[in-house]
Amino acid sequence: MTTLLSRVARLLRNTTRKDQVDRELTEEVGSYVELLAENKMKEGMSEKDARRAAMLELGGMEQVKEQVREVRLGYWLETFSKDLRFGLRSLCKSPGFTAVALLTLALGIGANTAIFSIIHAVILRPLPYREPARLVKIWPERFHSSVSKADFVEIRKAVRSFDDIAAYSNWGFTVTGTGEAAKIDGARTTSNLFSLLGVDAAVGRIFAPEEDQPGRDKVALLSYGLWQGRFGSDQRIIGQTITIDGQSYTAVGVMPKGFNFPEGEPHDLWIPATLDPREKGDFAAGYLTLVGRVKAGVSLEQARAEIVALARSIREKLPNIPADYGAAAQVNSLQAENVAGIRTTLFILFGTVGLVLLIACANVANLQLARTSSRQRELAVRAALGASSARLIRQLLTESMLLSVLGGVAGVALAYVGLDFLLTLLPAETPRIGQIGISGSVLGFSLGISVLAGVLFGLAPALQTSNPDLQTPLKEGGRNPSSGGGRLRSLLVISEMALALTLVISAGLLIKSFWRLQHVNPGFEADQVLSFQLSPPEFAEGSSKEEGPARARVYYRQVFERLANLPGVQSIGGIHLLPMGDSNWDPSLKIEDRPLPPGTSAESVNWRLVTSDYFRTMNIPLLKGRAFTDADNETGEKVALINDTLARKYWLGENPIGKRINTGFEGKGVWVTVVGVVGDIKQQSLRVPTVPEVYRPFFQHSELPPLTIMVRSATPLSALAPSIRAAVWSIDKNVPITDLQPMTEVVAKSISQPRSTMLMLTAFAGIGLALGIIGIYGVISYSVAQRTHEIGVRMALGAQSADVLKLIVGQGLKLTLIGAALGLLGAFAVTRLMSSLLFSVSTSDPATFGVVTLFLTTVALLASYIPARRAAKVTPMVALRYE
Amino acid sequence: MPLQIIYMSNRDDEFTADLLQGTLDLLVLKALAAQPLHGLGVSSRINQITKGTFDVKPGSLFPALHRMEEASWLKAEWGESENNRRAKFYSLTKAGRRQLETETEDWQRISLAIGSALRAS
Repeated sequence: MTTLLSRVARLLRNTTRKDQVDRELTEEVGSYVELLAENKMKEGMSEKDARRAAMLELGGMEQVKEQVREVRLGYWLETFSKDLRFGLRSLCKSPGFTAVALLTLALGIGANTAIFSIIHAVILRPLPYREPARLVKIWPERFHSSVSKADFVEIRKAVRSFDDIAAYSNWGFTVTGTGEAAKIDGARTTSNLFSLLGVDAAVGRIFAPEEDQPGRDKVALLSYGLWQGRFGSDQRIIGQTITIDGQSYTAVGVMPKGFNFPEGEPHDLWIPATLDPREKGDFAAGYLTLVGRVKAGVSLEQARAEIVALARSIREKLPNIPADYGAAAQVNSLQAENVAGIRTTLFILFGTVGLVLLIACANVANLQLARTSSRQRELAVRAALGASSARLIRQLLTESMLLSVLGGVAGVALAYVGLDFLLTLLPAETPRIGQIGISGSVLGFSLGISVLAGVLFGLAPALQTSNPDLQTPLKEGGRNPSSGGGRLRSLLVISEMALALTLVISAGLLIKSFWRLQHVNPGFEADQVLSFQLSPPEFAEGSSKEEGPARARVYYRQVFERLANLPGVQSIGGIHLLPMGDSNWDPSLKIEDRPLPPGTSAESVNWRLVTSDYFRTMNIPLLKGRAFTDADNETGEKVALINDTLARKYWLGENPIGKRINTGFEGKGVWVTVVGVVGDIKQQSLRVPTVPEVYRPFFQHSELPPLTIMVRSATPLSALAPSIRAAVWSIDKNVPITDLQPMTEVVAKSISQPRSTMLMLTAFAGIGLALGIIGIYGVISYSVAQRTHEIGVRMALGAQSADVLKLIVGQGLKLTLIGAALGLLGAFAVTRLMSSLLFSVSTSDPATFGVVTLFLTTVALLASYIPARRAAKVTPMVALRYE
Repeated sequence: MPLQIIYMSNRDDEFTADLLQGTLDLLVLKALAAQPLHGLGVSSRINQITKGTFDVKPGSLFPALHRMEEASWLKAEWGESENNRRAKFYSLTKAGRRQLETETEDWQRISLAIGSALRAS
């Protein structure tokens, strides 16, 4: 204890009373020399000789003192603060170097900070549920499609490796009554979903277990946002009635702030998915997604095996189930599933900014090397005065750290500003997009990479100094030393070129892929078409009123009539699911007199309800037969149109007109007649190839879902929107009009994710390219400056400007070509990871690789041509005097 | 030719007997066991008790003295030398004596062990 106290006292004395401690040390060593000299005089030396001998034996007053200082308490602290102050001073002394280095680092660290903040919020942070690691999504079908209620009931009853299983389905609800009619996105869920997630209501309660049974199921849960917005945060909402899709529901609870299930776009309303025990055999019509909580200690693989086995037993019990139903069931972590769509994109972006940071580090290392070379003399003097090489390296590293931490601070500031812009590029359905920000963990990450960067680019000058040659720099009187760092510099340029090439090729592939995507013919003409959705509450699904569909027909016909009277309107079509929207209906197809070969399952086809003028409005060509007419109504013969893909697949060389087909949506044994073939369109997105499709007349269907209406107009669409609202609401004010937007926007949205990936990666690759080119330029012009003397001699001996030009550009070309070769190899390796992001472009697309390489080599040559031309203009006299 | 102790020096252009830190500490403690000494006194005392085998240079001596002082094994006082010069005198503290004892025991154990190891055939 006393030793500790005395050490603390020492430390304080060493650090606070430096001058006195130092004076005492001088005196102590001085008296040593005096005493030694006296001893020598006693041995018979003259006073002068004795002093000289004593000084020699001491080996240098300053060196001894420095060695004592090095063992003292607080030495590290003291030298650190000294190095820090010295570093700051020396950074201030070369403001040009400091500014360029800081800007470079800020770009590199800023880009990494921004992307990490996105990754942290979207991917790394655990889901806000109880024990989220055990939550899974279950896909019993062959692909990522949905499950029927009957499947769910069967599976839930039998399953053993799960604590529980719940199901949900995204749903758009129409809420009327309080305030303006609104369409609100939400989900129908089984009553156990919320307890399975382990989330309680903030106000009121979550669903009770039996509330997915008929008769008990008219209850609703509200999101915090909906409660605040529409219901004014009124606690008394609990127990009150809300009109949803024309029916009365009782609000039982408000979910906590930030709760959004499923993640992605906001969901604000949840009502029970009614599980009617009388509803049997609806296995074919599945629309549920399953989530489960795996029992503690059960692996995903075990859980999957059980689901596969269950699916097999379901299939065996029931007729008409595809043979491979559930054979490829998947059980995946909920967290991973939520981000499956964006994960690759984010990690590729993370890799991209990582490369940008490496280029930035190489650049700063280059700058540092050039600076250390010109500081050789200073370093040699300090070494001669007793600084050990460890001490010099420490000082250089402190300077590098200072630089990188300052760069990190600037980078975080840059990220803070740039993040808002990046967020506008991210697709809106990115999970937890609202929680992206510069948090504590993000700052920690930034500090970490700053320090790492500091070590990386600080290593080069430190290595150069680790074996200091005291003689040459002092003797040469400060002239540039031999190019000791030359090889290191060349290496850095080569790696910069390689990294930049890898980046730009990756960006090039995405740009080309996006260009291709943009030029995909959607099969319809989106220009001058305005689309919007009508969700009349009274006729929505679940409405028990028998007269619902009849009233819906009357309502929609009125709508078409009023819209047709608007000025400029050329034609009006309707479809029940917006092309390139999120939803899809895909029942399995049966063809009359064409039984399925045994062991195969019926093919799924896209299925759409359209009105008679839909194809004319969208400019989709009729290839064969006739289009729908107004006579194809509830009383007319049941008919269908098929697309070209379906016609070719089943009736290649035959005439499909007059053939009869059935999908699950027509009901059992109801055959509809094919009356025509229409052109293929991109129904789901520009990326997704066209699949076989069946169109049926909207007014012929027994239940009428919400309708998306397309209006083709000769007048500007912006002027049309208000008159459309007025016309629709003049019929019924309680029908919400949603997603009113030009069709061109819908098409653009369908490629918004590839667009954002392309834009972000291109932006970062651009930064990397700029840094790389600056690096090459810097190194070549530095070496020109260094070689001015040599160039002068060459010219004095008869070399021409052209020779000098060739010499310097040749040096640049050599480095560039080596870098390009390595970069091509790197790109071949890296672009493989991007295959899922590319559209009809191969990961090693020769055109992209070639053009980008040519482009980069040209730019790099230009970067070395500028200093080369300067060198070629040197007159021998000037060059020789340049010292 | 005595072994020069240039302890913890980074100069590689001089001959260095790079002895373990403990050896130098032990020699300094032992030199100060009889009476307080100034820096030069410590180094001549070591030279004397090792019969001229070790010659501790100032570049090793002063760092060692200061380090041991900070470890509270030694305490230092300014005083007058034999020929009336101001000099800093070091003496052992209680902790220093204890340190001398333990280090002596350790050293003897080690040297016995090394000795028997070297004698083994």
